[in-house]
Amino acid sequence: MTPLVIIGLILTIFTGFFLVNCISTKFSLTEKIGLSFPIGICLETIMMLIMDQLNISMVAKHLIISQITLLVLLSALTFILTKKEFFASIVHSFKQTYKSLNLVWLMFIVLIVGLEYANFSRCMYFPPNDRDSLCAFETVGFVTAQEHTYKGMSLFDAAYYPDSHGSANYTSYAPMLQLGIAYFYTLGAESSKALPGFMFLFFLIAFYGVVKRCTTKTGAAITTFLMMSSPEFIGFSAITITNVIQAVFASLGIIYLALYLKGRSNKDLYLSGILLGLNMWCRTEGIVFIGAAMIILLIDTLRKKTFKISLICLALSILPAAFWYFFMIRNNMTTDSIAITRLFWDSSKMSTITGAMWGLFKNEDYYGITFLIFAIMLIADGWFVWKKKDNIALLSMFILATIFYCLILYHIDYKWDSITNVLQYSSKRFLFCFVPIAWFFSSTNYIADKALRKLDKVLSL
Amino acid sequence: MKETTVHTKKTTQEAIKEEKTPLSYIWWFVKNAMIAGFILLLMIKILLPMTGYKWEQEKMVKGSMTIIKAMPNATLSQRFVMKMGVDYAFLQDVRNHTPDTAVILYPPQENFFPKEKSSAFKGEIFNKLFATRFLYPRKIILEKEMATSPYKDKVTHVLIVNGQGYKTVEGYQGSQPVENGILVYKKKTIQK
Repeated sequence: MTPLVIIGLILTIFTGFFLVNCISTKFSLTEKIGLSFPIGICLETIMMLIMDQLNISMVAKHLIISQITLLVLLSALTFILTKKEFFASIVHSFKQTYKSLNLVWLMFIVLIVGLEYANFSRCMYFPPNDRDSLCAFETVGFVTAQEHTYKGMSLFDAAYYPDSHGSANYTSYAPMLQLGIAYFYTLGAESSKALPGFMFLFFLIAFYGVVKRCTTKTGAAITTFLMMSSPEFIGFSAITITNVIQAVFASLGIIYLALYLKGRSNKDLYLSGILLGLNMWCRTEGIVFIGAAMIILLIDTLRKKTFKISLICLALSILPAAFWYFFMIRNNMTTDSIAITRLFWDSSKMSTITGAMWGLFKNEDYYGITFLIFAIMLIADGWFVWKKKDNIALLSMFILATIFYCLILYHIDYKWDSITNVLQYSSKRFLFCFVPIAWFFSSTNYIADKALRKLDKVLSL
Repeated sequence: MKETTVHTKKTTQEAIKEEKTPLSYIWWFVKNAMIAGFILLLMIKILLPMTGYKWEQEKMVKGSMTIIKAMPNATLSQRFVMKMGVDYAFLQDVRNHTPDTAVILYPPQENFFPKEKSSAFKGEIFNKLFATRFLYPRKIILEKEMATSPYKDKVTHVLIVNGQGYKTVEGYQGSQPVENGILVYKKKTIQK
């Protein structure tokens, strides 16, 4: 790694860290650290696109200046908004970290570190080499870094690349990953793999932090390990494609919204809005999670009359996508639509899709025991779900997002590939977003939480 | 009265908790070790035999780490070759034998993977975007784009794969046809 890449990484982490602190200093240190890189890199890619729209060349100097400006603004805002709370919260978090350790927790932390060490090593060692990356994200990002522009890039020139405005083409792909890759190449990185590598590493920290908020430290370590070892999920985490990166934002966005509905802390709602917005900054299909979340939030808003804060959350969740669509239209970067916009009924197509989705949920080769444990916990916790509405918001969003996924697949006009191919090869990645959500439910539902608290009691000194 | 009793009870419990003998530490350790061992055993017996986790353990962890440990200082090119084999080596060769300003006439998929014979290539090398990643800033023109491309009159090189593509190279004067290589277009000389 070149010194400039290291400086960029530090700036990215601090930018994200201060944004989370701007929302609230009450998030745990683990959550703040975990969310810092994912949010920080997205903020930088948004800045890059703004710069591009303003015809500011995306050279290393400009990227670093933009990031320093953003960091100064966010840190000043944090200190103004939170004053002494900011430092006090960090000191408090450190004190909490070393309380009540046990060997099971330690064993799982060692397992997490070991597995992530191997995963991070292979991610950083092998350069991008998979088809989807080299035929889209990686090349687009690489060329952006060489030409210092996104909208004016040669790859989007229809005269040179006649297919660039065709159906489902890379031109209209949500820009986060391509710009993130461009960011690292512009700073002098020899490979773009730092992006997926650090994204997954920080996600593990964030996931551990958010689970720990709802259950015990030991439970959080066990859940994080089982979640990360979901075979296809960890497999794809070291590849420069968008699926796992989107899963980071979509799953955490849904989880934080569920936490807001449970604990009524506005900070969780605002963070959820930001994360859901960034989920669509990574992949357009992220709309399914925004849709599911907003339906549940709307029901809650009508009951609790919390219009103002809900509107803020809605605005945060659609702003990145709105900016991207504005940018695309303004710069003639739209592609032929692959959506069938009229209403129609094709029972055979629908049953093919639902059958494939059901098959995926049952597939242990792809997701290990994720959905099996989820189903067992759902049955075990059924009474509490039904009677006490335990985790009902989270479950509703899970189900709604699944239905929306099926509807999206149903409304796609498969003119660039067959439905069988899409379902067989691509759709396994659609369920990545559900993996962390499923594990979050499995460990924080009433029954599991009770059992994990008992376990912690037995293990304590 | 009740409150006082509860308070006293709590204080006594806290006092007992605070008072830790060496035996309580040993018991804590044994209990923790036994539970940790049981959970580990459970995972080894249930998770590891499953196909997905087996792949993760053998291919992802052991397989990758063996390569990384064997060649920790491999260059970026070497690491590309490990994953992409001939595809990368060939494109790198083309890159080394053409100037940055080259406009390359690039063969179609069927030339890379002819039905009548086996091919050394394996991946998406025929894809224009894929090739661009390794040949940039050289321009790539596909045969099907020759009629419309703004670079149609600026082609400087033609790529030959599996011995196909000579029809586009006028006046080829090499002693024998090249199986895979890059030729200068319309200049009657062989660059490689």
